[in-house]
Amino acid sequence: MRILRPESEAELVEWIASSADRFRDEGMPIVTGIGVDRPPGGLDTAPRLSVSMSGFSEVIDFRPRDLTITVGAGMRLSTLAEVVAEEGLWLPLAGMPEDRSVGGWVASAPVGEFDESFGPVRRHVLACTLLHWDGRVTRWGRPVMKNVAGYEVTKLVCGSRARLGIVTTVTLRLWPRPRVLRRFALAGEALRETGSAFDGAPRFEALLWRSRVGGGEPVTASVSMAGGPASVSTRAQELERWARDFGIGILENSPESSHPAAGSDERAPRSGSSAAYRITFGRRYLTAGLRDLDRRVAIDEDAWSLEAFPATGVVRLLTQKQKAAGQRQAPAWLTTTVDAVGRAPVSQPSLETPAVRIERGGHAEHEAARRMRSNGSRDIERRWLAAFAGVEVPWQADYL
Amino acid sequence: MSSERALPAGLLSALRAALHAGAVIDDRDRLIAYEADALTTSRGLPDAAVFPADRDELIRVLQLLQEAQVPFVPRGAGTGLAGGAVAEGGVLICTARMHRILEVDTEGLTALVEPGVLTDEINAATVEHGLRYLPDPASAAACTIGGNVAMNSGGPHCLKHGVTTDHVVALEVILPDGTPLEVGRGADGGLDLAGMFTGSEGTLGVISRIRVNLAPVATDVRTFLALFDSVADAGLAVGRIFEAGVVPVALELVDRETIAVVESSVFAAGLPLDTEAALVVECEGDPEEAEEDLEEAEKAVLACGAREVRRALDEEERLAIWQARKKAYGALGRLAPDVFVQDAAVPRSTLPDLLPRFAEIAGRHDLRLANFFHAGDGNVHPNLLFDRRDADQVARVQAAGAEIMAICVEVGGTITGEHGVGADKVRHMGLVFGAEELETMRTLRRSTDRAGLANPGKLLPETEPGGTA
Repeated sequence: MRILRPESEAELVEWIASSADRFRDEGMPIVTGIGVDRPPGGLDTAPRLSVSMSGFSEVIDFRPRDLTITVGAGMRLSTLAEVVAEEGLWLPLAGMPEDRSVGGWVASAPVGEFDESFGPVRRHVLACTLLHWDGRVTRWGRPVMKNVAGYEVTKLVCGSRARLGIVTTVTLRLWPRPRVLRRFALAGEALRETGSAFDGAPRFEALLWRSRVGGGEPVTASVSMAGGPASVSTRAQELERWARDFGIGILENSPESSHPAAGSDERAPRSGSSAAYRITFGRRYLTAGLRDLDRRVAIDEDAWSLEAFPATGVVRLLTQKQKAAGQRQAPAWLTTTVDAVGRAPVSQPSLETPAVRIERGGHAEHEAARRMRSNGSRDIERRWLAAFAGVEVPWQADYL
Repeated sequence: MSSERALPAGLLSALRAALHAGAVIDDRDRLIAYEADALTTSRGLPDAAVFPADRDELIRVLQLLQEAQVPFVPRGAGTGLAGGAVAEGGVLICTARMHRILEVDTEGLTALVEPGVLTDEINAATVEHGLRYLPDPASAAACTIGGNVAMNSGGPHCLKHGVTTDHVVALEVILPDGTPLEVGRGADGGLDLAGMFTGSEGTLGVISRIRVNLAPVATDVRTFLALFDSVADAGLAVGRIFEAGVVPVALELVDRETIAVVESSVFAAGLPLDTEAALVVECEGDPEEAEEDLEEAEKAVLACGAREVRRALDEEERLAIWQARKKAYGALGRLAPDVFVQDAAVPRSTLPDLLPRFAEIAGRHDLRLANFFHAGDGNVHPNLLFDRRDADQVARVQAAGAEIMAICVEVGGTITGEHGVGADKVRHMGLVFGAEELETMRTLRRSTDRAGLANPGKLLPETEPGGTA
């Protein structure tokens, strides 16, 4: 595989603009940030071209008093967190792999623990620079907290992988660092009963629920609280009391400790030999869906762990072994669950159905997800992608 | 006048046959009511207005207009401040009769609503479940949720909780050719289509159903008013509150001119007339949280030279403080028949420098200026008072407005933070977008509306030889 490491926007633009034939013959390149110079193995069709954004990792414009920062898309999230912390500022990045690039974070828009309280990736991206696949460069958004001029293209960019083009700079909304930030690790079978709802527990800012890690370990949860000292202290005591009542073990962790994300656990399956399934339930379907998945995961020897972000309705399932090469389908039982939950009776057409999005080693695999979407959505996507990309972009175009 | 651009023969009768009785009007006397939205300087008369009662009627309307190739403008309650819901010829599609709340999902914390539901009606229907819809445009009692989504509206309490787009889970949009389309935020691996349709100002289609997020009502809300002898100090205090690690749910500024007019109106809140600027700061959460956040904010404003902090001690006092802010726009009518509302959003740290410059520009053009705005978001509303019957005043207002907008953009700001582009700011789009971005957006718009029927002339400048883009 050929890796391109441009040092300047001009170099990158020139290469992209002159590569239309190359893309047609060799396929679209995969875009990588610092730390992930190569796509993980296990892809059925590994790309032959790769563009590394490691040359774009500078702070371009940091305005602490405005709570905004503009950085090169190749910057590591961990570096970004350090830079903003020096000014007492903060981004709710708990649980994100530290070597992930800012561009990859924006382009994949992963679910985060703090999404419900501070907003998902799409709320944090104020502006960006986009290099279209035909070599055009456009800038979207402004470094301000509110902006309704023109179409909200930054929203479209978030989670678009590399299908619109390559994001080269990103302007982010920052937060003052919460005066107190505390994080608790909970463990105990009772969490399976309390499920995702945490009925009766005090309010918290973030919750990650995990079960069946490595097969049969106790259910765990990670709870974060942010705010003023008195309020957090009271709520923390309530949480401890609540946990005791249910026989749930509780420990306080360092607020900065990123709990081991499933993929970074030492014993966890290596990314090349695993698949991650992201199932997005409408929140009302979550309890039923999670209970069903939890039961099925227990008897699937390939399943490694089940994680839920209850506030957003997102569930992540990590499987241990890769299925037979070339097999792109989700486990049959996963589709069964999603279909069953999707048919749950509702009084009105719901505008909100469960969807499965499959990632393999961080690489988006869209086949199953596409089946879940309406023809109409796909048609609009095709038209809008044409408006942006300028060339036909296959679904594999990705940004790690 | 309307005979020159009469609708194609048979269209009106086809619309009447397709819709419920009384859903089509075309007589000039009644159409006059729809001549403008809340931006009264932008006017136009449609050839007809239709009031579909549900999505099926809406689909039929769009199909008929597509067949006849007649342009249309979607309209909610007409409270917009950008002239976005005004039609010059063609058909005005009023969604006000599509006003059912289809579902309140207390488990998933969402509501499914039709576009004509008033923003406050969502809260009225959810409060009994202890839930609320968070964005609060100042006109929430009169504006529709469809209009909010089309414009991606903001409001005083969007500082912490986010604007409309942050609370829209999924949408059904009827494309200009009548095709219904359900879109979400791309959680299924697709693109965030709902994010793009939100704020598209009726240029990509007409919204027919909306699923919004709900949140638990706050258990405690606490508010204070801080009085300053200098606008710049008030601007500094805004930044200091964030530096203290507090994100209030609302952080608003009103200036001396605004205080004067509010105090002489029925909404008088007892503010001293020699106050140069006042900040309204509100924190919420559980009682402990609201209290300690508000105390931190109090320390911050006092450190920046606030001469007095008035804490609302009960709900009545809290509402009185908000009256001073929320009724300011209406009260301006006492001073002048017309108000030129601006809506730039700027990086927050530039506020202390910009506010005196706004005053200087207004003074130079011999105009009265009243500021009341979302200081925490940097979303300024420098309002210029004038009388539109006086051509000289109108010219001065336009010149001053353009200067104010230019300096806001110069410091990194944008031309509109929450009101939208509409017809009003189309000519300013070139300040914040280059030719390549504008062309990309035009391509995108044409991809679902080849003939340019959906809200023509709004949001994007047309390409014309030697055009103004």
